Amino acid sequence: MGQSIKTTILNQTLILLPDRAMYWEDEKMLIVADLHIGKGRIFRKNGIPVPAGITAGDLKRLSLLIEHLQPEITLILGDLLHGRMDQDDAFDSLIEKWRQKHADVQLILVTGNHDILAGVSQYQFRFDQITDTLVMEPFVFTHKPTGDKTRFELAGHFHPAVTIQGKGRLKETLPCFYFSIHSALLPAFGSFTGNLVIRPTLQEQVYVIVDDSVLMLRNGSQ
Amino acid sequence: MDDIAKKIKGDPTATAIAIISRWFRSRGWQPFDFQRDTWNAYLEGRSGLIHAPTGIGKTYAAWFGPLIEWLAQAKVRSPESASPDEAFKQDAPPLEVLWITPLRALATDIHAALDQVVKDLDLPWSVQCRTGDTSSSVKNRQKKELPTVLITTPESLNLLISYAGARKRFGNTRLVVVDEWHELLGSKRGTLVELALARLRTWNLQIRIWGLSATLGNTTTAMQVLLGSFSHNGCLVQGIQPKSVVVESVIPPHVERFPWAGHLGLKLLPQVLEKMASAASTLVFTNTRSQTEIWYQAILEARPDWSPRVALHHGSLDRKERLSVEQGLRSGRLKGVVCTSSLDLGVDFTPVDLVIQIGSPKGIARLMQRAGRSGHKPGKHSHVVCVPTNALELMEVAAARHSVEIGCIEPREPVVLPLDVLVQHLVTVALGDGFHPDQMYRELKTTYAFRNLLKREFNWALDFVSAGGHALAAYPEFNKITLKKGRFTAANPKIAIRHRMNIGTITSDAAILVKFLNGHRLGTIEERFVARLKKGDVFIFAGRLLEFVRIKDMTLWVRKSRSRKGPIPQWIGGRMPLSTELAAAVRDQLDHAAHKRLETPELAALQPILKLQARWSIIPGSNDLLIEKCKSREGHHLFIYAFEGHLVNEGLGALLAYRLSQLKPLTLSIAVNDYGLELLSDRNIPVAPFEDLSIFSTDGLLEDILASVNAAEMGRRQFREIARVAGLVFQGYPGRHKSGHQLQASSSLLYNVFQRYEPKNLLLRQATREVLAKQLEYTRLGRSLKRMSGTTLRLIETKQVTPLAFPIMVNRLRAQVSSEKLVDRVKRMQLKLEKKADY
Repeated sequence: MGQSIKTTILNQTLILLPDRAMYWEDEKMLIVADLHIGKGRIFRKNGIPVPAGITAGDLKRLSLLIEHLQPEITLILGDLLHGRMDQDDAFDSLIEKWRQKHADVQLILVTGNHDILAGVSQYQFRFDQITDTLVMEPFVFTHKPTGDKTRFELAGHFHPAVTIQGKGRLKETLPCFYFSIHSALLPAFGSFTGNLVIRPTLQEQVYVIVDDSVLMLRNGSQ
Repeated sequence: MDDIAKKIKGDPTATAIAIISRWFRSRGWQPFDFQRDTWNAYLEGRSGLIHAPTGIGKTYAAWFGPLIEWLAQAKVRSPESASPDEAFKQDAPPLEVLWITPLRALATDIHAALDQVVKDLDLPWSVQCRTGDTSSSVKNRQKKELPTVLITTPESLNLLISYAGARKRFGNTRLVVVDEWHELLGSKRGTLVELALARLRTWNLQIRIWGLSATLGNTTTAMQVLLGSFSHNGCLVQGIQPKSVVVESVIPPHVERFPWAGHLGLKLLPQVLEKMASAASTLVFTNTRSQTEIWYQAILEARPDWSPRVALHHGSLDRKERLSVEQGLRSGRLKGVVCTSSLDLGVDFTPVDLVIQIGSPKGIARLMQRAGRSGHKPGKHSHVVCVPTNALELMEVAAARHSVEIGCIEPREPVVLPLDVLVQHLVTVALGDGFHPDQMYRELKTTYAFRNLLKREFNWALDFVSAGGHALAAYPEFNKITLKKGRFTAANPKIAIRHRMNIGTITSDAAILVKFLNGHRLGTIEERFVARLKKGDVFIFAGRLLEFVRIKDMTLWVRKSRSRKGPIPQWIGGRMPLSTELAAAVRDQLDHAAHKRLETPELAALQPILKLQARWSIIPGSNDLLIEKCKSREGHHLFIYAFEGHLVNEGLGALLAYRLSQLKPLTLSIAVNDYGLELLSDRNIPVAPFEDLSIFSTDGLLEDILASVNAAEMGRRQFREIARVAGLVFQGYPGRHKSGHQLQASSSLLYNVFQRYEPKNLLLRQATREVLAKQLEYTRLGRSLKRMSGTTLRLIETKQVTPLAFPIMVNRLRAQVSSEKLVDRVKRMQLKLEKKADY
């Protein structure tokens, strides 16, 4: 499971996991964003031969997390699916099997822009709830942050990453959890996803994912 | 004169040659011997390659063969008529001559030259261009019927092959001319041409193929690549001997104050202005498009009186702008044009009497080519003035001059087995008339690039485009080309459209169109540059200061700005490496300097800087291997002067870094230039393996090379081009940004996905192979290592960064090799924070 980091926001304990996921301890809730399931299939369908097994691999990673943490709720913070696909029995049965395996978990989807394009409801996830915004005090869960400063937002969408530097021209770009004053962004969970390099400000806190650890970063200008 | 005509009286061919000779006389010319030789070889049904410097009649050597043949046959067709003219009263015949040119800018010129002859001889032939610049109405017409003579680029030719009925349209072609073959050879664009030629040959075995090329170090190979397995009957025609080339340099008055690095330096602007003032018409060549913009601005600022008579020319400018500049050069209206390699080739600008090269020429062949742009007439001298932008470039000019004098011209190595181009080609052919796999395999084997293609590799490529790459477990959803009745054809029209948009092998960032608010088009700049701009920002492009108004649908709308300064866009692929030959020649120049033989004006002028180098370190003689070690705020530096040229130095850097990192946990950043390489670390770098020369050992070389390619992630960069050519990365529809959105993935992300889920994919292996071929060619690297272990090692600890080291150190493009855990490295790094929020 690697090394995770515990952080407290508004008296709530959030665990940042190196598997690009977050666990809200107080509510026993596992949160992942931007899986982009089916992306490889859509590429292949359009004549771009990317290898198979990406979706299966990502679902397996999610299963491992669920087995390990035993959450009551699993929340998908948008872009679970990549796009609209034709009916495909193999794909449906993959998802069906996955859902059966975790039948007792409450599955909630906060829809993202890709989910809407994909027409998410037709798939076999059997969500307990589908919504565009989920309010669970003291947090608001939304796929794309709205900039609402009255509450603390947890969001995905951007696939955030940061570039860090060191002496000897060391330089790395790493996916991260990105905490501002009124919001936090989760890294993308899917392994066939790109990222957006964000340049944080002094008031913000970044936790990078390095192999199987989450690290809090020192501030460069101090 | 007309001796052939006399010998075979009454022969229609003789009569035709007489007609052509008359045409030459009417212009006050006489055909050169090599032109006649080419016509005769052509008439005998042979193919071949003509090599000669630019501007010595290669075009007419190739062009009149089919004209003579057609005239003779026309005569036979209507022997009763008193004059052959009667036979011409007919519709334009279908495609006879296909003329392939690497630059669309050249197409217009070739068109003018060929069409003139057709008009003068009053032939019923139609001559047309087909390039990216051609209007869609003309393109649509050409889809149905091709003109008698078609002038096109490799990409447009491939596009034409991808339409059904191609065989019928191209089947009667007598001649294919591949113009400026030296420019295509050695690149994947050349492979595109090879594959297209193989296709045309399958359709018509009698087709004749003639290449036109500048003289290269490997002219015979150039012909073999062009003609493939038919090259044994090829005819190598040498044009008129090179005219003499005079290479002069502008010597900076105060070398001490001259920059040690950089390539934009305007220090010598006054001297350039002076030279331009004394000439009627000048071409100012630069090495990058950005440099073109900078020098153009600087010249105009200094000489506003030249304003409408100085222009700029580079590949990102709108076609109309480019054409008007080319027209201005031909008519002599322009006093000077600042340009890039966009004006290297073909185009005849007779009024140009001075050529200036800003910065290092980078290669001997290139310098000769550019010099040849002046005095564009047989027998005249060509003269080039080189203007260094940093001190060491003076040495490069002296080295280049010497190489020109002794005729040491670089060879161009052909590309071998590029599977990405093969994958693209299979789809192209499937979209057109389709193909039968066995016939296709045989056809491919006739090309030079794929002459050693294994059936296994061919089958893989076929699977890749028909089954998604898994022969055993085909993806049922995969959709590209499908097998129907023994032939592979396109799966559906949507795939066809997308493939056609992506035909070609040139990798570039998404291009944004730049337009004035009134709709006037200025050209294109790369998306990456635009991303850094916001509304109201001012930047320089197309020789103008422009203000960002808005961006919409891949178009950047601008207005003229009153401000006087702004950033200049950078385009990918701006930097050119020094050729290996030139790098070696520079090593000789340094050897002269080390032995105080300062014979050339350049070396004499460099004396103050050479002295500094000698005081702080040493000047390496050709038998020395200089290594400088120093410490700075950045960390520990090791500078190794291998003088192997950029590409080999890059491979060498990865190898040395990899071997060092095996000794202790270490992270090394590698920077390279044409002279040497730098290893930089935040920890002390052990030098013992250098001192006992063990690091240069050739034991276990192959394993270490492969490991270093992986460690430095060199394949990742190479994969960018491969992913694009093989159709993995979709470049998008022009002007329509969003439609491809769901299919967007960066080549780097795809590289990760393949590494993880399909590590044996042949395109990944191709990336490694291309790195090896380009940079680390086993034998060449082995040779370098042997040479270095035989040299006298001069390991010198310096207090400051020396003149030789400085240009390497400032290089920001770096690779990295590490034997430490990422997490340990990250702990020593930190985040650079912004003052303000960014999004």
